[in-house]
Amino acid sequence: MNMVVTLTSTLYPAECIEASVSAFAHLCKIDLIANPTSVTAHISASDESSQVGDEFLNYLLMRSIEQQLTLSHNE
Amino acid sequence: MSNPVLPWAVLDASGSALSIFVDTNIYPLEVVFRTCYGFTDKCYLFLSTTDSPTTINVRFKQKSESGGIETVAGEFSNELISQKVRRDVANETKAIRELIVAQAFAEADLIDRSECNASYIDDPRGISITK
Repeated sequence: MNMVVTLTSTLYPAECIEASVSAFAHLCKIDLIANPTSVTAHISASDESSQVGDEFLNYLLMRSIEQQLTLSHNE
Repeated sequence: MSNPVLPWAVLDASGSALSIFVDTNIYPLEVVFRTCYGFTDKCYLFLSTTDSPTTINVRFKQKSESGGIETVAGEFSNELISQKVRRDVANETKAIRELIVAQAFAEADLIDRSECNASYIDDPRGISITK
């Protein structure tokens, strides 16, 4: 399974990306390339039929939502 | 390619995912996030920006055990409206909710009860007066 996604910084904060990569380190290999307003993630896993890339994106989305809603609630 | 079930959704070239484009002028980012929060157990979601600074692409990909992706995307679209209304109502009632909470925890009475605690015989609000 190989997947390349662009993670926009306004939607996916950098610290959430780093935390999610750490959480999935034992399931897949994720290489990050930082751009000015986004991060390009190359996700690869040995199992071709694996859903691990999609699971990673869902996990990352949940973390990002929790962080951003907490911040907006505290403003 | 637009979807016949959901005309506002676009089917990916692979046919395994649907995308909808959300205008953040209508549905602010907070509303989109709150809606997404309830759908990560039903499908795989991915958010991305578009060429327009006020449009977000929400991509839905089916989880193996879930129902049709069109159904999930349709429910998501309805939930966007629901969350938007909730947010509007919360903003409209913010002042009174804050007053209720403040009153609940305050030792002093924050509400002017000068006309509420009067005798019914005095009738300070003139309720008994026939118009």
